[in-house]
Amino acid sequence: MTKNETKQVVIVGGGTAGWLTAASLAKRFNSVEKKNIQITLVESPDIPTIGVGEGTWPTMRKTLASLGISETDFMRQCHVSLKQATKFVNWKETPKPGIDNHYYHLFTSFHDANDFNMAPYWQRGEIGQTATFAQSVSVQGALCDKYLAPKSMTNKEYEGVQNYAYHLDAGEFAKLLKDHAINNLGVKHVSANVTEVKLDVDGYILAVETDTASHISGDLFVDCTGFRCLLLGEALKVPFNSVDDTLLTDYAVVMQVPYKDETQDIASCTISTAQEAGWIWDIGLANRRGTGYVYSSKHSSHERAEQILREYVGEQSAGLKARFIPMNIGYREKFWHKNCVAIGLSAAFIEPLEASAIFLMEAANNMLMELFPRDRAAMAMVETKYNDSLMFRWNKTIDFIKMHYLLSRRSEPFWLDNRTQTTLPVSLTNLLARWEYHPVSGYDFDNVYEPFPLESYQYILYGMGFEQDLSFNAGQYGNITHAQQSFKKIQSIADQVQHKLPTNRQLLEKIQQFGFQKL
Amino acid sequence: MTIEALSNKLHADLKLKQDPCLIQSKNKHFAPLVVGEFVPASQDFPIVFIKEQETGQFKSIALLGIEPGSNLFYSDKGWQGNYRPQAYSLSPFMVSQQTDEKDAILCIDSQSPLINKEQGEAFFDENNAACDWVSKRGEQVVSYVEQTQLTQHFINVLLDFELLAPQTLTLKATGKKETSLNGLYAIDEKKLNALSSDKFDSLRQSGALVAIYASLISMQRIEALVKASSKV
Repeated sequence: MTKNETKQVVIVGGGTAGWLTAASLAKRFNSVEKKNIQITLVESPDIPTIGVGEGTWPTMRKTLASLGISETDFMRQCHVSLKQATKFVNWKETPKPGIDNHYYHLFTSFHDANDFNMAPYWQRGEIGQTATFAQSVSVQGALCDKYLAPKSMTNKEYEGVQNYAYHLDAGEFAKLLKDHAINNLGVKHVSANVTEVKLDVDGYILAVETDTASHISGDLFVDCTGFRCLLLGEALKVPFNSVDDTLLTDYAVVMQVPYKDETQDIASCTISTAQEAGWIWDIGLANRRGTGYVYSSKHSSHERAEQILREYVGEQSAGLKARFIPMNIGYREKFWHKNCVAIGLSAAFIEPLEASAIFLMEAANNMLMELFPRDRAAMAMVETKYNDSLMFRWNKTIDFIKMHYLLSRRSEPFWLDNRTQTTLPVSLTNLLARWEYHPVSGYDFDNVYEPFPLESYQYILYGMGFEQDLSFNAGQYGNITHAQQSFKKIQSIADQVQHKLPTNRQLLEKIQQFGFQKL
Repeated sequence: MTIEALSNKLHADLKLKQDPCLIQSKNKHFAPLVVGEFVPASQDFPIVFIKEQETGQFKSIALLGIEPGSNLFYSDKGWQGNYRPQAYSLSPFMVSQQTDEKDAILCIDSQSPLINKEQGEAFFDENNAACDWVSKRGEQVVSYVEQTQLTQHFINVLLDFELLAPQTLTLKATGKKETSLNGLYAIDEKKLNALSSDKFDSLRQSGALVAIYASLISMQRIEALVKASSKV
């Protein structure tokens, strides 16, 4: 046995990040058996979780299935509704009075664009002359328009007719993961406040001291302490890099809105509506809506922000409390340092525009599990790999989010400032310069771990009305018949599938009563 | 369908025709089955499981044909099988059970083509009392409803023990195009054999084993269905 073999993992902080990490590690390492790697989670009984992240990516289905959680239990407990897209309202341009503009970023495209890319045919007017890009390549927008679910009761757990993700109650989600981690996966839970972080001479964390549970030592520490970043930031002094020069929002005002009655439709997409100094998310859970206005306090007063959110919610906002959350947009210079890894808000935070928070936690977990170092000697190499890979993903995510702002033609100061040259990452402007004359290509995304697929970029670019001239080398777009057949097929599937799928609300009600089958 | 509680006021002059062809089964390619029917039904039909469209819940069925809308056992000359599935043979009787009442009420579908004023047996005798045969049919319907609950319990056990597996039947009748039937589930013999002795014994004790084997053996009837379908 080598000295310092990694046997004991200590996670500091509960919340979604802490419990998701604890459950994932314990499941993968089979921590129920004492001879295997053991996981301890220390959680403060006094610090509330932020609990706003309510949208996931479709990756969450695989994550939950691999944890051995039943989709039915998850959906019932966390007030889950199904999400199959994000609908961007008024992002393209400032709306003319009474006339909104919108486009969809969908999860399912008929063809994998790497196999057959329909975009050039649509862009050149060979198909869908009167249809949007999204309507031309996917049936999912039609489903969202009608509040339909992406699956029916005859689909088994985690299986959909269309690709889908979740809207969830983050507080309940953390509870579900916590119960599962403690009761089924062998995670040890300590309820205490960390009072001190003890380092050894090499600057590795030896243990954390707590107020009520004394001393907890470990070989690897995971910092899930949120914005506070107690281990990686405070104890190990890894600095925070702000990206407020690129992403200009720094505040959110949030409000939970009950449904008018039990017949109000539940959207099967996240609705993101651009406003004068930011944008509002609108997430329909099974039991309520979660809304929030993400804005720049340099461009809007807090009073004005609350007023805009209340106007958006309408008369239902009367009597509802609004909560303000300051947002520190940016990331730690390193996510992994010595024997400490930060996951969740402690690692990085960017505005929740593309539901990247939980998704990047899953990515971090997967990487940590896969590369888990045997001992200290193996740690330095993993540290570099991990940091490089996640830094790449965060940067790509920032670029992708920035792209939404850059392509907008809105005219308020916030939006104009968002398009000034000094705020634009070169990596993004380079790609856009290429896409002015070339279709988006698989080779533009040559990393296996690209956070967003090629199709996502297409939905945003064409949805925003990005101007593209594909006349160069147009001879390569000769498969017009195939494009037209595909287009027709998509329209006919859209017609058929609409009659087969329940509404999101009907499906959620049936899940309460019956649940999905496991096969 | 018009469901009415059977009463000597409304239905005194009505008669029920014989039903040699199981009229209700016309154009139905399957018949819902209760677990007590598995053994007799297994001689004629493959017994499989499907999901209820609206709820996703499993139910057991007898396959009567291999294409939607085609019932190979239906004929104007009379039912072509030995066993007559109760889901159709009990028609037009059904029961209505109010939650606050102990007794079930016997009802009929007064729109049924079997009900008329001329042919068949009268529901009520000259004293305006329900005939004996009606009471018997009533008991059968009640027992069927009880069996439905038993069947649900049986299916839950199959699910708990993970004994069901999806099954796509790809069928090729002579002179016809290959068709596949999706959405069918069947008992997985390998999984049954791999059960622990405790679990297997609990199936024996609850009386589920005979139904399980009936279903397994009934799968041999698929070939007969395919043959019959090539003659249509």
